[in-house]
Amino acid sequence: MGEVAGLMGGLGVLVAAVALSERNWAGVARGLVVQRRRTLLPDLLLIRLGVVTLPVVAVLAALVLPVGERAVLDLGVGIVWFNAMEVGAWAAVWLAGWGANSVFPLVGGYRFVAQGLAYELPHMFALITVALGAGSLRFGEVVAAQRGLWFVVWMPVAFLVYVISALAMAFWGPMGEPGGAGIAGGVTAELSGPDRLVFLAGRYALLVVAAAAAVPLFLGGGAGPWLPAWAWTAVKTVAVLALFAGIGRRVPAVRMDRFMTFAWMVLIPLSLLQLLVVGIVVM
Amino acid sequence: MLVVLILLAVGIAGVYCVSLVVAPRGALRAGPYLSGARPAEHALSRYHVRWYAVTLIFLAFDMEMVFMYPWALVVAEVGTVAVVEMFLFLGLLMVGVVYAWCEGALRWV
Amino acid sequence: MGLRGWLLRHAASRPPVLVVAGPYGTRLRLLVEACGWPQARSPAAAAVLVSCGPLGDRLASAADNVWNDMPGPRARVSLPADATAAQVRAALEQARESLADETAQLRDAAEHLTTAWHPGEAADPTMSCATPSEPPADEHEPSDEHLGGHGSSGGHAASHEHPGGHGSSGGRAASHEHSGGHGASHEHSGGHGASHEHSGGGGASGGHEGHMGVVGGVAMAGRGPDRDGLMLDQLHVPLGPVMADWPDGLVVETVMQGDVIQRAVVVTGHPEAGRSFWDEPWLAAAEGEPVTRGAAERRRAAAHLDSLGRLLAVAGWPDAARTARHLRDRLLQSDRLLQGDRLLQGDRLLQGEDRLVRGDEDVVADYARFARRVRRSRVLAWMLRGLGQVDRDHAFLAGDVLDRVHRRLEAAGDAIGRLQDHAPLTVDLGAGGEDRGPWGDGRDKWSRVAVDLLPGLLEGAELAEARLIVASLDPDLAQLSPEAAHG
Repeated sequence: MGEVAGLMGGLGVLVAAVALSERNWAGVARGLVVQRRRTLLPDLLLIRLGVVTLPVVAVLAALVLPVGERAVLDLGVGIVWFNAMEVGAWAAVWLAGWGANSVFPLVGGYRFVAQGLAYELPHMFALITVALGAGSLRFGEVVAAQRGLWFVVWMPVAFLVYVISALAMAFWGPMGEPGGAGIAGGVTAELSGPDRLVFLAGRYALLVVAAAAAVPLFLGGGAGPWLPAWAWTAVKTVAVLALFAGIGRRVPAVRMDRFMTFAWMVLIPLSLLQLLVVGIVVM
Repeated sequence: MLVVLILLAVGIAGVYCVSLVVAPRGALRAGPYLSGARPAEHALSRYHVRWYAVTLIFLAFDMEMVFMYPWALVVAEVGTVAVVEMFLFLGLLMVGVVYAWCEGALRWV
Repeated sequence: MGLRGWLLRHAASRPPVLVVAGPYGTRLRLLVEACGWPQARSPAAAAVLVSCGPLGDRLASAADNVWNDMPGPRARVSLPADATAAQVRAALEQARESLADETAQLRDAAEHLTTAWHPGEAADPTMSCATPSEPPADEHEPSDEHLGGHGSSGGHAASHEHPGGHGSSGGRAASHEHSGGHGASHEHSGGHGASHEHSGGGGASGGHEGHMGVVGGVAMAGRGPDRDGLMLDQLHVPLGPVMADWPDGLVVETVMQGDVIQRAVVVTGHPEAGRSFWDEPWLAAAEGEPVTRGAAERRRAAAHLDSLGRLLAVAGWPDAARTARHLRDRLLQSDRLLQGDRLLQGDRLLQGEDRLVRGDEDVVADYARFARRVRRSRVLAWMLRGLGQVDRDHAFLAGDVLDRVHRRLEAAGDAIGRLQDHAPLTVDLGAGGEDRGPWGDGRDKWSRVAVDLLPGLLEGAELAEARLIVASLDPDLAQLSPEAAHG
């Protein structure tokens, strides 16, 4: 029960903090009181499905992350579960974009699919590198394997790739083109009221979960002096979020027509090289 | 796990319920946003997906990832053979990617 | 006061604003933006609609459409052309109050349901507002000659052009006809709902069965050849006039397949004459008013920062865009013309200069930091290089989007360096040769050139690239007005 409270509480506080940092409180109030709105012949079922799926996959992915000592769902294949859930965002974003029957959300939805094609493989290689280093797919054992040395130290490339893919998965900051300013907010262009609230909350949740997952994967989980494990997890998650925020301030949007080649010809070979190095060390 | 999902469902339903109670009645019918113009046709269309070639390469790679998760667990036991075999396989796939790149499959416009 | 009232007040604390500005609305837009309210990107997300000064026919009908698509609580602000900074602030405050007014908003929301947009009638060719010469739309092969689409409603159809002739000769020809002359645009905007009892529902309304492909009053996408010789679905997507981070009053009608622009036509229509806000110091000097060089340079620097702010926003770098706009606003703070005290022009303008010497030193340093930051961004260079290539003859516009960004940075920096120049500005309108400010009465004014170049540059561009190209050229449509053209 403690894990559940910790997970939901932590997630809630961090999502709220991200929303606050973007000064979106007035938007929350507006989302609740605004008149319901429909575009011409929308596919309401698909929109709702997409909108609700986004926070759901974020929370499902978070289930396997250790909050303090243990995870809510301590799976032997935790990393695979995390990966599988977070890919659900593809469906969520595309459905929400398609359903509105409006050009800009449609373009945004397809942009996200293209983004997925670019970031997903490097992302999976980064995850597999970690699993290879730990010899396990269970988050708890991955944390245990970092007692001596954090993975971020000897798998820097995997960490870098993970950070890029985390931003891409939450389509936030430089990877935010699916909801970009140039296409009137893209996927979110026609969303209003509770739909908008839930969708944006889901996006923030995805960002927070991606940051939180970096902690057991690369930053030694809850390990640290003086403080209890849950506190260290929280501190490190906030640190990763701060890193994301810093990147968001410094880097302009990355378009997939340029990034795609880079992802396939630079990021994938680099992460393969990292995998090879880790494989040789493990051997 | 069930508790978490129930909490989440309650939260999402709560947002919709508050909106239902507080927001003005009725749903506004609006046109799709077209910078102030009205649509000449529905936006839903057969979208010109210029990166379809990438999706195919992606599928090839993605299938292979399924093997990599179990592989990561046994490398330590099996040793050199596992690493060599996997990277031979990955090397072959990379050759395919490089070929696709030369053919311009990763270029867009 | 219940939960609703409490939420309304909180929602009204930072309402998202959608600004509608025509070519001559620049000054008011700047005043609105200086108030620092968040910018909405679409009607669904907007709470306040601000129209800056009188709008032309097309712009007014676009503003009406957007207003009609905004869900309540909502507020509309129409600023008179001569509003001062204080009046703009007061008008926005009033909008904030009305957003929090529970009874008024509930009434508006209920009424709005009856006047909401209703697509039915316009899809019927016999009732279409299109030009009489247009043949009835045939849904099997939509008429490609009309970028405005077939049988679109109201304001859209009112500006029908016939671009590119029938040979699709690049779309550069015949693109500057003044729009809004068909008169049909006035009856549009919200009145339709009242004249039709049935609210459309989900399916095709009666009487449209004869036209295949019309669903819910709007046709399905037709097909057209793409550059590879494939037949693909195409959509008619107008860019502008009501769009965030978009040149004031510009309309580019496009045909898109996926997110690739197949054809683009620029529609520039402005029935009433006016003068460009950015050109004001030069025009004033030409009329014999005493203007210092520093005042003109201040305006020039602000103009470039305004364009840079747009480009950086479209390039997905909100933080840098905010810096650019903040610098622009700081520069313009001492600009009497912006604040609206038009009677104070003349020598007071000079006095305003002297008082702000100290603040300007900070601007110089902050601008240098900003420019360094933008120049050094490798990702920005990676994303902008090679886009929107213009050949060398067009001095200020030559090169790709990145070149134009660097040139603007340089021009703004030079202008900021000359803020303290108190020499009187002398203007020979016939001479030209400068990137901002009037260019005499020749045809080679850069805004005109930019507008002429646009269709060719946009064809084949992806939507994101198109936005960047437009933002990098950032034509000032007010320079196209007859008055500016004739000096």
